Amino acid sequence: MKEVGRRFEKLEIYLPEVIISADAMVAGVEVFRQHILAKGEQSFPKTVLLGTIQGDVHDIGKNIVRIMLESNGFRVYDLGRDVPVLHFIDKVKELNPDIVGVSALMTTTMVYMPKLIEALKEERLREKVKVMVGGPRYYRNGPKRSEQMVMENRRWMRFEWPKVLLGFKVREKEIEDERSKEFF
Amino acid sequence: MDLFIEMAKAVIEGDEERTVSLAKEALSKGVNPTEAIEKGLQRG
Repeated sequence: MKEVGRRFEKLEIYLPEVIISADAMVAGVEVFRQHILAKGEQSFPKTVLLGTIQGDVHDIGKNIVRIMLESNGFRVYDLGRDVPVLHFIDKVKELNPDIVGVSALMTTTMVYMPKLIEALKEERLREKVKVMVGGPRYYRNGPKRSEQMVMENRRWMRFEWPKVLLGFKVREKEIEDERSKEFF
Repeated sequence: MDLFIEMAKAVIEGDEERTVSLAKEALSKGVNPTEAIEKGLQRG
């Protein structure tokens, strides 16, 4: 989607074309995913619970992250999009994942991410799981309003999903080193 | 690798069928899935 993104920014193409391309990409990725899953009987070192936060249906990035994680040997439970905070909590209890990955594209839905963290704390689950936060609002143009919203919730692991897309590899070791990656 | 370029093109054109068939072709040739996603699909 790099080239498609570039063309979109330059207004050479419009959103419907981007979506059509994204669909093609997802279909292609699915082929590889099935392949990885079919042969993937290796032991999964870590489990990840993924979902796009409630109110937000933008899950292309999250889906790609899922693929990248799976292809790096993680077991991924994907809750899909528009996932209520309480559903996250229920699933964390049920599946006991190592990592919870939550994404939001829109600043209006980002506000639910702190709520998820708070809910995890209330349920005494925060110490058991690492939290990854994803979405374009976390890296563009440095710290600004949206960034400050994250900063209010100290000790978040700021994890930039787009880096995953660019080949940033998530490995078990790095997750063990999570402390060093915690910002704020 | 030409196959990667073809995949990128198929994504740019939004050609789902072709993307899928290229993906299957890549698998049958033993291409690493992660590499194909990064260098093919992602680039498109």
